[in-house]
Amino acid sequence: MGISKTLIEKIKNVLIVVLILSTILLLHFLWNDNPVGDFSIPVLGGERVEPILIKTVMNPDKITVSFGGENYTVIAPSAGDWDSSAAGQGATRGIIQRLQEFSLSGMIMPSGISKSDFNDVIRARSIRADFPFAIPFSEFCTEYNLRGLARIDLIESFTGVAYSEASPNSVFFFNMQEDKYYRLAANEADTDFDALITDIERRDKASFYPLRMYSGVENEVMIPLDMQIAMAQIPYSNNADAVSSDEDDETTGMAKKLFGSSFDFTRKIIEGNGTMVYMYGYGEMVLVVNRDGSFEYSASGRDSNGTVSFFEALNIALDFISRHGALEAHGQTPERMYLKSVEFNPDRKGYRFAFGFKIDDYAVHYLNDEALIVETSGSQAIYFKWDLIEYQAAGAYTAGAGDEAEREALRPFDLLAENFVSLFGVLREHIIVNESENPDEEENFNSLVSTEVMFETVVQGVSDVSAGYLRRETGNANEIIGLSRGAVNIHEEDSTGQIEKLLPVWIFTIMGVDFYFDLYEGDLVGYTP
Amino acid sequence: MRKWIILIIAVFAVMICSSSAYAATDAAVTLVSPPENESIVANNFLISVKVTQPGRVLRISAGELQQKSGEKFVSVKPEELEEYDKKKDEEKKLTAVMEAEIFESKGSVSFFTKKIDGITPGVYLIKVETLDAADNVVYVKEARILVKEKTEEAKVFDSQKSGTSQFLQSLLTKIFKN
Amino acid sequence: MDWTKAKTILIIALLVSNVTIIVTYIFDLQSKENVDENLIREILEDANVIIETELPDYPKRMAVLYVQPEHEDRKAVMKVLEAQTRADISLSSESEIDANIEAANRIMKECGYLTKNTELSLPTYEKNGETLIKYRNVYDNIPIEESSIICAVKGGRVLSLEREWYSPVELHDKRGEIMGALEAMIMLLPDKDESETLIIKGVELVYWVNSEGAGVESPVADTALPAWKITDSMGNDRYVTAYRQR
Repeated sequence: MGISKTLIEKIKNVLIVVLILSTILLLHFLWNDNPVGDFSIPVLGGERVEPILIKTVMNPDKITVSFGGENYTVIAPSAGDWDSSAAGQGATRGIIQRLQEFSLSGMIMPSGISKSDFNDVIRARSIRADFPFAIPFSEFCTEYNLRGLARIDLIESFTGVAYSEASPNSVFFFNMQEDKYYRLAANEADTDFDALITDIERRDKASFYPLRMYSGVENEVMIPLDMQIAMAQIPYSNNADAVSSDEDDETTGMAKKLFGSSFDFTRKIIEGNGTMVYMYGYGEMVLVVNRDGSFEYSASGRDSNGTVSFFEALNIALDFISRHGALEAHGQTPERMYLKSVEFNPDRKGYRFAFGFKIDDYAVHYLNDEALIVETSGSQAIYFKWDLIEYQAAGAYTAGAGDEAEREALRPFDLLAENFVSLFGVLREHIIVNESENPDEEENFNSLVSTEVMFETVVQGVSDVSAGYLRRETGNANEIIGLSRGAVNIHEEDSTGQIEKLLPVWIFTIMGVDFYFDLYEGDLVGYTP
Repeated sequence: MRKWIILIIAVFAVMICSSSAYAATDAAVTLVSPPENESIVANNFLISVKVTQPGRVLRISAGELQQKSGEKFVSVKPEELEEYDKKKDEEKKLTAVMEAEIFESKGSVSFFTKKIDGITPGVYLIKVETLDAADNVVYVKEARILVKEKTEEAKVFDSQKSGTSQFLQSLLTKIFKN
Repeated sequence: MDWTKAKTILIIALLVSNVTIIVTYIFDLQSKENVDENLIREILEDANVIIETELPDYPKRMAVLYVQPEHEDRKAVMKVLEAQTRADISLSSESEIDANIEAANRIMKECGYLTKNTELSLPTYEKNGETLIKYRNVYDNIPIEESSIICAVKGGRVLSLEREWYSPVELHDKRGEIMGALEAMIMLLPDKDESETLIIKGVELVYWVNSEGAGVESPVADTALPAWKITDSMGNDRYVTAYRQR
């Protein structure tokens, strides 16, 4: 008999299976034109990526409530104060929701108003939300479904929204950057902004007063008299050590994600100082990985077809960030990220979005940098830079950062009054001098300025006061595209790791310069011109 | 002749006495807030005193003016101020709302700031006294702050204007613009 | 139905279809290449590009090559150069050029630069009365550009040695599709003046490190990409990355 029949049958079975598999494989090659030599098992699915939503990251910097009688408070908006769809079920309706109701109030009459009228209105019982950047008005109305307001072309862009009991059937939009104020008046508005004011009134909050009341100098910026703040120095790391060898998984992983299939044909250069550069083609895509753990990616965009709206561009940027997992790699979440500044670039038909991160309600400021920047051109992200840090303190991600008890921070107005001479000196160096064209005049100006004038100039120039954390160590050695700020770190400490703690600070923004004062000790620790 | 001289000296003396009793105000001291003789509506206010000379020693105090009503002393309503001033001393009282504080100024510009809580409608007096090395009062600055009852917010924009007339207005501007 | 018979038929059917697929695939590839080539030649002709050299064969797929930039060790080289004795400088060989080459080779050996990957790159050049002798290195028989050692020799004595070297480290693990030299020439067209005639005298497949780097000052590691080195009649070299862009 020779070979038994059952064995033959078994062999046949095996053959069939093998041939079926090979047929499938060959078809795969033929149809996908795949090269035979580089066969690799395809990765199943992609990584599931959680999209980052605009309402998570785009929130007003602060919400100021006036209770009338020169009684104010300023709060960092909680989730839901601005857009309650960002908060959970059953959250009190936020400002956006009330704006939506307002926009349905029938005929709405827009008009421009004067700054003094606006200030009068705000001084009454009112609520206002301020953003640190300008938002295009009509796109805003489209994005948030404010149908009744969409056709108003009086307002180009705005930095804030307000409601006041002194004009209960209206809503106010304003642009602090351009000093423009608008009133949208409805005949009968049924919106309940007052409920929001009452809600905030009930919260435990500090008293704020306009600078005018402390100093006698015209300035409506609100600052607290004093504040109990629970902040501590928080140690952090920037994963610089992770970027030491060029076999680092994180770096290669990031490069692969950014370059996609082109990664295998990318030129990899390692500089003497440890910086790694990945370059595809003749610079169509470049990734620079710095020694300090920050990454910089740029791509030469294809010619963009058309301008993309603010919100579309923001979505593109957020999508890019989430797809490349930069946040996860540093233990950050979208909830702690916030949109810090927006610049429109007409040449590239796109926007430059800078993002920052918060610990609880306090923003983390970099002395010389931004945490995350995305630039778009048309529908592409063409520049992406991140310099993220990871906090070591256990409590840093939850309320009561660092397990510190609340203690009294130094009074911000006192700091201002005690230091205005040195502040004036810095401002003169960086701004006043630059703007004066006559050098002789400068000389005179410098020597003739009295302390009164110095004080007034400084106080008038204050545009913001807030508490936050400062990251002092001056980031990467490379020139940051479009961002070289020449920031000054006043406390030069040695770099044996002692400086790597986030310092709680008061931040005074005066004439565009950010000054940082130790929150509890009061020293001027640095400034960013 | 002598009578005249005595009279003149007496007048001068009175003038000098009264000016020391009503000491000349310290030019280096300004009460920035609360705004004097303006009425505010609030349950707290901010006292801010600006001093433009270093080394000044100030004593700041604040209290509420109260008048006798039956057996008790009650707040004075801002409207009743004229009457209050005419009253006899026994009928008037100054109830402190803060402990008097001593403040020494540093540098060329310095501020004393304090928040007073728990304010009810009435009339308050803020007194800033400049002291010399022997703790004698050299200058005095006083200001009266009127705290009114909370009323309905005054409307800033004439509400009647909104609606039809504004609509007509904007329509007209649109027409004429084109 | 007899299962065994059915299975046999099935096996045969599968075998046949497999073979058909393979054959189709191969033919497909080939025809694509032929069509493309004719089209390209036409385009090049229209653009006044004249090819006066043979187009070499090339591997279908290549990976990038990681290299390490190296310069000469100034001190050591100076030492060797200064140690040249009169005895070395003897014109024993037939021609001056050969003697110079011999001298250069000797110096290279003494400096330790004459490795098995180093080869002499002829022809030599004359400049200011000196003969410039160039060496280059190869990896897997493919030269690395622009990696070179240049010795200036005169009268049998090596006057100077300059080294701009890229030492091969290793290949990347993934390979990419390489396009032919003809396709590469198309890449030259955008930078070329239409009316000008470009005569191509030499075509070579190399590993190329773009010296107009990413603005990096002194890299300690770099990458060489497979590229076509196209030499024209004026002696200019142009490099075109050989990867077929998708």
